[in-house]
Amino acid sequence: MADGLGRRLGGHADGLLLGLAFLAWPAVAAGFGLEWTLDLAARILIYALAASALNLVLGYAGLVSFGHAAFFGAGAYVVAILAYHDFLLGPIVLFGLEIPGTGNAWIAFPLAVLVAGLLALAIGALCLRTSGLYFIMITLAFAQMIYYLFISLPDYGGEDGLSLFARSELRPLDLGDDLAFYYLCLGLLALVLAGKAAVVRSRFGWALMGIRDNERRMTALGLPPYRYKLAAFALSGAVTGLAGALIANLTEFVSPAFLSWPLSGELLIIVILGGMGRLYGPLLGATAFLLLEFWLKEWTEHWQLALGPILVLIVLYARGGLGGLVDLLRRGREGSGHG
Amino acid sequence: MADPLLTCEGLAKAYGGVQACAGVDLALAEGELRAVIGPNGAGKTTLTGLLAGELRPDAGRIRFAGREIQALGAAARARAGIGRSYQITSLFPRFTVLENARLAVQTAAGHAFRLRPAAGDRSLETAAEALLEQVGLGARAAVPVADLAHGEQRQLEIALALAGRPRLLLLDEPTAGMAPEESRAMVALLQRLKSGVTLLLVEHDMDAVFALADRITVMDGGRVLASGTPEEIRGSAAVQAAYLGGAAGEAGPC
Repeated sequence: MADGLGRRLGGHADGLLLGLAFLAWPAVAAGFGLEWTLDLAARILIYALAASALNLVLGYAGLVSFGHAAFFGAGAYVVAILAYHDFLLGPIVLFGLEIPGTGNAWIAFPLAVLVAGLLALAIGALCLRTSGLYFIMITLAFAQMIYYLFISLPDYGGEDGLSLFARSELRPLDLGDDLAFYYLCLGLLALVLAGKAAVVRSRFGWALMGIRDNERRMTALGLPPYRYKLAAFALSGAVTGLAGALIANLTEFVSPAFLSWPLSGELLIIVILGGMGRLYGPLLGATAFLLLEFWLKEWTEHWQLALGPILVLIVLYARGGLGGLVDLLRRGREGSGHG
Repeated sequence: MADPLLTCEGLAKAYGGVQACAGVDLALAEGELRAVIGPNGAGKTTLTGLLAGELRPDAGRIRFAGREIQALGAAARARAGIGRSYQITSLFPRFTVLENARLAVQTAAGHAFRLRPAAGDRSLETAAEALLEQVGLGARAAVPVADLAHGEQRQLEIALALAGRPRLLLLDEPTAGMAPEESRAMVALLQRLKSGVTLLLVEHDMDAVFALADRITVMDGGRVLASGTPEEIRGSAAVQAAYLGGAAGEAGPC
């Protein structure tokens, strides 16, 4: 499939339309008395953010990471632990140093990004020595290690998790206000997507796509693939950590579930559902996935039984995911032969 | 003669019990075109893999441009000035011809941790267009690689290998699978390249070999059987017996 200019502009049109819908949703929801949907919509944006980060390695570098929950959960726990120490436990003592906790998002969010990024750098440095199925399994293994680590930390709630007493402070914004928090999520997602668009078009992005499509050839051209994959993996982990920081604030609660493999799986499903290697695929995928989950849950407690076949159908019949389906529908009969 | 550009001594590589290269010695002078011939399984492709750094030798040394390089990986050797093409076409099929060339140029230009868009970057695209012009694909820049004819894909294969301005180009059967006409065009292209770069050419097409080669190395069973000028090789009794004659004797009516 050609990565032509028309397709790129077309992709932008879809993304902007979807973005506008999210921008307008709070007003629409208020008009119809659906304010309760803001929580779900914010969750969609946060999952889209995490899935966008995953898409950088999955869609552009061809790395199937089954361990991104580790970075998501790390971001969430950084925010929760800092807030917990601020509110209740007193300073964190690390190697004799006393570090005060904080509920300030200006400190906690960048720290969440940093910790998740460093974790991804460390995990990536080891995992990227393998490839294919081994890479999938070893990223899963590392994520599970982090999961069990947090389960075994009674100070931070162990299996029960940890409640936040309030949302982070992000002066001049008041994140306690659901609307302000919603727009913060939307703004950060827009920022991340703009950043990703720049990365993907840069030499770095092309190098990643080259590695994805033909690693041997890239090496023969003189490019050491390991460094590029590691840089992408660490960047992806860092941005996933930002999503984690947001989810901790949305739910005002963190638990090891944020670190667990089903979450890694959901992120993979969202990326594949939306269309791998498409800028707006993760937003499309997160919207579809979380809405489906929501509706099916209303209908039956065995919602996963219904979700499964729907996902299988989409993956089987819409190569390129929902993004590919949208492209196909727009172009109609004229030129849909090659997909 | 000046110091050779490339020398290898006792280069050996075994797969399980099979000795694909069993102590290969080779010296290439700067600017020469060396053809390596031999029956299937002679170790020719293994030799290119060892020289390009994609395979680790079990034993032996490689010197290139005055430097020991056997410890370097494939990417480092490419940056040191060894380019290669593959027997089985190895391109980026989702990209256009120009995008393929641009990717090769950007890789040759060094690290790629930059945030400027690569498409439309004149410093990259001018070089990429020149590269395509050089191999005769100038008019096909916008075509997706998947839509190219086989011969054109082979030409692009050469263009990618040239992007790093290598001093030594390893070509593994550049005419593989080509129609006679495409094959002639490839020979003409290699003839043009000859003046600018040292070439090691693995080839089965004897017409191409004898038209192009300054010297020929004959391999069989992982060893160098003979090296010499085309005339010497044509006249060598040992080569006749072991390679040309031997095959004919075994195969009978073929």
